[in-house]
Amino acid sequence: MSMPTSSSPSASSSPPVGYVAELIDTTGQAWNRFWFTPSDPLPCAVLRIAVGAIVVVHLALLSGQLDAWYAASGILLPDTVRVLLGVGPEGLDPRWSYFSYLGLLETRAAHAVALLVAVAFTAGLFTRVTGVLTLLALLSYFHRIPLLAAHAEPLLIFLVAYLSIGPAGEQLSVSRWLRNRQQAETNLPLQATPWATLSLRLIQVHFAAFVAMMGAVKLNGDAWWLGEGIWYLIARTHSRPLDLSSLRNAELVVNFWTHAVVYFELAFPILIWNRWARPILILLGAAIWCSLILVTGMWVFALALVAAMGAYIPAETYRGWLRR
Amino acid sequence: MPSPATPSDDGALSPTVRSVLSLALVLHFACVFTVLASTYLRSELQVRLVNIFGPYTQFLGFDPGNAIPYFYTHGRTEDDDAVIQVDLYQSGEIPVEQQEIAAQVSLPADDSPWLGNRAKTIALARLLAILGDPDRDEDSANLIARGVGRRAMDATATRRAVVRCVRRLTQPLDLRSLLEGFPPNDPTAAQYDELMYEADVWIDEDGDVQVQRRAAAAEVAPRRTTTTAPRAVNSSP
Repeated sequence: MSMPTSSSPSASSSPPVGYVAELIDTTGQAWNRFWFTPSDPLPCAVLRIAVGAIVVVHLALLSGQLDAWYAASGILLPDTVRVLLGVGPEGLDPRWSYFSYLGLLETRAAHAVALLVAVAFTAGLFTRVTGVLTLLALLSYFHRIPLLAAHAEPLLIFLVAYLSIGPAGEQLSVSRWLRNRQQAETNLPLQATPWATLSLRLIQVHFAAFVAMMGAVKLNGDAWWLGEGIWYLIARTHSRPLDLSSLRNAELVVNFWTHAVVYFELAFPILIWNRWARPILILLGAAIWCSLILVTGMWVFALALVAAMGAYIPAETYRGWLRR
Repeated sequence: MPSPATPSDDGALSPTVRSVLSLALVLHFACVFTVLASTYLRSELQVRLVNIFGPYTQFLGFDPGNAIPYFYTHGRTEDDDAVIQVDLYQSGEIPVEQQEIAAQVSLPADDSPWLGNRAKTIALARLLAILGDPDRDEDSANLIARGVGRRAMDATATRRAVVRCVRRLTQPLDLRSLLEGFPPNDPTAAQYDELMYEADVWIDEDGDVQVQRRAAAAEVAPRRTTTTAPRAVNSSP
């Protein structure tokens, strides 16, 4: 919000009016500082590479699923999906997907293009354009069969959307390298920009809400309260990637693992804003979400969660790592 | 390695731009927080709000909806795994009792659990098992069976199929709470498999795919009305 920044409560105003004026003034300044203070675009660039690489891997994994799930003639026809989603045949559905109109060959061609675009986004080539195109592709996969979508898809969608807003291609990118070559091979000066801040803040706030949602939905059932949530993943004999059923003999370990997941996901959205707790939370998050790979097999989702936490790491830290 | 970025006056946003962006941010996160706070269940207020800004949050994929279980499992029987088995027959006009099985397809097949396709197939089977409940509208379950049967028949050049959805009940952590009749040493024993849905799917003379659900046991004989579980069942919220 654009607030007056120099005014202070008038001495002549009554206490309630003065309080409200100061509250608005202080909040406005804090709001502007939080969202619009120019910052280094390096974290956006690092996130672009990490998120882009995960999108490429995710799309590559879908390569073998195109005929069965994504082509218009797949197992679930577009009209079937509309019925299952509760959208009437005449109802407008904003969940638009170009796959609903593509045959087998066209689906494969569109998939190949989506992969190329995602690679270009990862490499930082025409980043804003390739970012928007990657987003469009991800949305089309997600909207074609939202009932069977991968856990990672909604997460990757908002990460790519917000990175497309910011200057994610300003550093560590092919575009930057090409520009530097054209400018007599001298490095162009880098400028802090409010768009980098806006992009990162959008990711930070949305991701914190997303993790809060993941923690909150676990509280709707008994298994996560009773410390048995992890066990019921281990006990699913068709979907478990590894047989860890020997953990039946270590009930306390199962309880601890289950509680750790829930407590972490409930604590994360609050404590991540504390600069002292942040590094610990990021390490804990990486450990906890990667541990779930063993019982869910969702390693792309785990990697996307870990990558998203990169939005909380300051530019100086990235710069220190890159200097090594 | 690029040098640190320096602040620039040119990069600062004007108050007008900040105001417009601030308004957009407030509206955006009002939508996002509402859909994320209601992915599991929605109050009437949330339903009405989501109906208002659904076109925005759904179009941009900000609403994961309630189809993706971010809780993974609540330990209920409906969270258990399910598979789809398809028996295929050559003729679409001859009843299956008078034909030999031409092929059998099991979904998921031998897909790796690390590659995603297996998870999608199990999610579809789990959905069919839930929709296959006799108390629910069977049209949705039939639509899924039609899609599965059609694809299996196309792949094997057959014209009739029997589509079954079988749920695999999970063992409890504490085997002392295992109900009688469920072998404790073999969580894949037949006792843990429960038929949730069964339908005939065939291609008629016009080339259209038809589906007819087989009568549920509850419709032909007294039977249990709730899912048998090898443990005390947690009720759905």
